Order: sequence, then C-alpha cells, then structure tokens
Amino acid sequence: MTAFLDSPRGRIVLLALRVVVAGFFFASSITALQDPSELVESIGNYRMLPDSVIGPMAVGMPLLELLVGLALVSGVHARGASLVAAGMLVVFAIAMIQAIVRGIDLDCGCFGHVVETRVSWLTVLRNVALTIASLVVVMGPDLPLWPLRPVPALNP
Amino acid sequence: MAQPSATRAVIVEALRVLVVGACLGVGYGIVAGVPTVAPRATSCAPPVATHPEIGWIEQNDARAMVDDTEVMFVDARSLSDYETGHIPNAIAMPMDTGAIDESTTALVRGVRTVIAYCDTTGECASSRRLASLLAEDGVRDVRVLRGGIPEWLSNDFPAESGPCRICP
Repeated sequence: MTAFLDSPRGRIVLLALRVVVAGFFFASSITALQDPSELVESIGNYRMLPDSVIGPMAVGMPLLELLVGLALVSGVHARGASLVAAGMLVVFAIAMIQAIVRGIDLDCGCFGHVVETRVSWLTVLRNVALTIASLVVVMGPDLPLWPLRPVPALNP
Repeated sequence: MAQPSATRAVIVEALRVLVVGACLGVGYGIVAGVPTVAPRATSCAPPVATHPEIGWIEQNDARAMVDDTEVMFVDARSLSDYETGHIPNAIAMPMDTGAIDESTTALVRGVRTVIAYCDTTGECASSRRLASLLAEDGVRDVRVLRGGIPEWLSNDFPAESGPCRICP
C-alpha cells in the first residue's frame, strides 16, 4: 500500500483523495460560515450536546473545516489535517448513527439549506468512505505543495 | 506511517491544525460573536427556513381539524409505519425517496389546509421536506404538525390503522 502511494500513480490517487475530502470540507464550512445560526439549529437537532456547547461549536467547527480543506489542497500539514478530517468525519458519523438509532428524523445539516440531506445509513456510509479516503492520505508520503512534481528516485 | 517518527510527525501536524483552528474559532467568536440556541419549546421560527409561508400547527388546533373535509393530513413516514397507525383519513406520502409526483400532489391540491406530520416530536425532517415539496408544487396553506405522531398518540387523539385507501 505504502509503496503504491509512493509511486507516481499513487500520488495522483492521493491528490484526488485530498481534493475530494477538501471539497467536502470547503462546501460544508462555507455554507456554515454564511449562516452560523442555521448550523446551531442543525447541531441542536442531533440532541447530543448541551446548548452551552452548541454555539461555540457552530463557530469553531466550520473554521476548522476550512483550515483542513486549505491544508489538504495546499499540502501544508496535509497528513495532519487529514487525520483531523478523519476524526471529525468519525464524530459526524457517530452523531448520525445515534440519531438513526434513536429514531430522530433530521436533515444532516452538512451543507446548510443549500443541499438538504436527510440523515440515513447512506450519509453514514458517505462519511465512512471519506474517513477511509482521509486515512489513506495519512498513510501516504508527505507530499510537498504540489504532489504531481517529478518523483525523486526512492533508491538513488 | 510505518516508522514511529513519521507517526509522531503526523500527530504533531494534526495538533498544530487543531490549535490554529481553535485560535481562529476564538478570534472569530470574539469578533463576530457566538450564536445562541433558540429555546426549542417556544421557538417561533418557521419549520422550513426557505419557505416562511409554511407554518407550524399545534396539536390541539390540528385535532380540531380532523373531521374538517377541507383539511388533509399527509403522513411523511414509511408506508409500513402508516399502515401500523395514522391520523384518520390521512394520506400516505412516504418521504423514502425524498420526492413526490404530480399525482400525489393532485390529491391535496383542492383542499384548504394541508398538515404534514411524521414520527419525531422535534425537528422532523420528513414532514418539513414534504411540506416544502407541496409548497413548491403550488399547494397553499401547508402546515407542519408540531410534535408529530408521537405527541398525537400520547394525547390520546384519534388514530386508525390499515392501508391507505385513496393514495396514488
């Protein structure tokens, strides 16, 4: 796996995965930053957190998502950002699972009201797929700003 | 990732991202303020933000309309849930696919008020989605039942079971 990710083809795969995960986080953060009160409502609908935590979370989470997206695209701390992304996606998936198990019927709030998606096993699956993609990026080589540059020989 | 030093480097990077993210969050919170949670029980916000014309309807008000032939209840839950128990004369409009067709909308087009409900006492996405679709299809005076079917049943309001007789 690691050897493949070190190859030129593997690096293209890594770039693609980074762009996909970054795209998800960009879309999520931008819609949330446009209307934090909407995110407050969405987080509250999961009925997991006390009200005192929801407000600060609605401010901090989109900014962290934006930062993760920027890191993934730029390549600066991309693997660390990818680890953070994986952690966030797991937390989101747990929130969705508890909502499904408790019979709470709600919109996932992932992209505000721009794309309304009802929480279901499909949204959980999407998060699992994105988590796997993030973890693959973590396992890959520490790529510089632009991973498509000529790959130096591994054993000169 | 095989070497411990590489693992450590990734963790350090992740911590840096988290710290910078936290600093940005604190800064943004100081500058722009932290949004507060609206009290759920007294919230007057419309059920569908993008359709402010759709309003909530309280349980007692909806109960008074059960026998009104100009009012139609629409059930956004799955067909099996509907058949297990529903508000009398309600039409099943399951939101499993997240869409409705014209033949479904036609069933409620002529009535004065349409009341959507589903199976969650709080923010029920299915009934809000259904109400939104009906409003977009031109149905006027669409409401969402606050408290949904769980509160309806706990109030001992009338309910019936069995298949939908007039559904498309």
